[in-house]
Amino acid sequence: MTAALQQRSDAGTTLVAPAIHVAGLSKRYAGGTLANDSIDLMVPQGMTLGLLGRNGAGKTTLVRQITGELRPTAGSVHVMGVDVITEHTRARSLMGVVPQEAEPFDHLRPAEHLAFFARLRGMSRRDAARRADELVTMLGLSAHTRHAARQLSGGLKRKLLMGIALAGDPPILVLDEPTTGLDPHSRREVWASLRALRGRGHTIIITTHYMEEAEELCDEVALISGGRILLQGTIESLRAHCHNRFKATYEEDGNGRGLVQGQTSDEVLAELARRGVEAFSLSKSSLEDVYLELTAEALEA
Amino acid sequence: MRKFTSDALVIFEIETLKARAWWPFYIMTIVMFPIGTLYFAKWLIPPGAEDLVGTRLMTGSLVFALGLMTVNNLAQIMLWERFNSTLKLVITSPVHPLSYAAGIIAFALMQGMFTALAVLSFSPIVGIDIELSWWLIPVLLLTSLSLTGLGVIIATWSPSQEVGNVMANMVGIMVTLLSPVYFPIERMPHWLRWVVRFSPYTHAGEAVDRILSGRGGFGMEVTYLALITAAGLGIGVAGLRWREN
Repeated sequence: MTAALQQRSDAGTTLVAPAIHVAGLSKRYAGGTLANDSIDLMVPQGMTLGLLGRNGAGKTTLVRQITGELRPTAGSVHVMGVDVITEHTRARSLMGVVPQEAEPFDHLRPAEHLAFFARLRGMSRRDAARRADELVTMLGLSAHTRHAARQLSGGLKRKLLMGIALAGDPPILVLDEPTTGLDPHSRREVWASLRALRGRGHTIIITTHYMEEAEELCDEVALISGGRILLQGTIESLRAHCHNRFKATYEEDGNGRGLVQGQTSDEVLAELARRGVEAFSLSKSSLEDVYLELTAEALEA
Repeated sequence: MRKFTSDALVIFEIETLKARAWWPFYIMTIVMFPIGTLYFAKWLIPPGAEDLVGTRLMTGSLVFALGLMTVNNLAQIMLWERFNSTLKLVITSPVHPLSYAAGIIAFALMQGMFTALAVLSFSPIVGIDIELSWWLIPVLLLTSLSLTGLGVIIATWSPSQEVGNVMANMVGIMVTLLSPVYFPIERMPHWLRWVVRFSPYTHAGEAVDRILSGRGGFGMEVTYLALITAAGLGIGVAGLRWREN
């Protein structure tokens, strides 16, 4: 498959390149460690895809290969039809990136960061200043305009990094754990911003350890384990791969909470009846349950 | 080309704003080190013999300070940004690595020119007469630029910030001390003269000394200096590492 492979648009009449197309992507480090192994991934335009996996599963390696930071050992990456490996600078103009470990410049203020990075994405000085003002307001940084980045809290720095990724209003956003370290309020503010971007047709790839975040934001998720994509699909479709699709919790006498899981709700209800439980809460398995079951199976395999 | 220049200017502005935050330290760096080397060299010669040494004292201090400070500043900035992950923000933006390098080099050159100004302004205080010429500007710029390629390579290939810092210091000091900047090349052993002819600071020292003493005849030295600088920058550009393998 190549980047020429097309995706049908919403209208169903025109053909457009997928936002991100990864084919046979592998990464073997000099020491011999295989971080990624023949990954195929297709992200249509306008989709928000969550990458989930344990620490060291290969999520960040994949993200760094997509953004062009890391040269793959084999395979190809195209964004909007542009080859990331051979047309590196052009490909980066299509992506805004929040790297996992990036730090803003200690001495610059938020609006200065945003204006400088907007200029690096081709905006004039005046447009960049205007864009910086918009982003400062959008990200709730207005109270910190006089502060240098070194004076900002970890959460505010993450917001600033989000702003830098958005500075040029690129069609694709690649966010490597963008809300790590944020308090619940700030996290929800970032989610609101991301939802707004989804509404405007941006394609977003997001790695996260917060299942709630993936459920909240993502159209599809891809589970990564051992440098391979185990499954990709909607949360509902991933649930179909699980043995336990339903669960019920209940209060046990003096023993905390009890849990019953099963493939169907009838199976769960039958088990609850067998245990003599009358008061319980029945629900579909959460993404976290699905994730734990599928990644545990992969590890055992 | 327009994007290249505009990006380099943005990087230069980002670096220049550091001076707003930490200006006392910048002034200290620009003034104290070169003036320190000037006085150190002055105290090494017997009292009253300054006339015999003449402009070599100024030349040595200028080339020593410019060479060491430019390579060091450049390498330290790039090492800091690389190992403290601010460089990631630039790498993930549509910026050509050469624009980044050009912006940082321009900033290091600006510091170098302030350093040169500080040294030159001290000549009346240390009692050395010098001739000023417009030629001094390109020669000092070339002197600053000559080893920046090496600084770029050290900064982008060092396995850690500590190793990079030590390498930048060692290379800068070794090249400067081995080059005849405080004394004429004729005082060196024959075999060493052949070696130091490859050092840009040898030709920088000779050219600067001829300008400051008003002797002229520095065309060949400037040509050598320009060639070595061009080769050094070429090696630096070729060795600049942006993406990880």
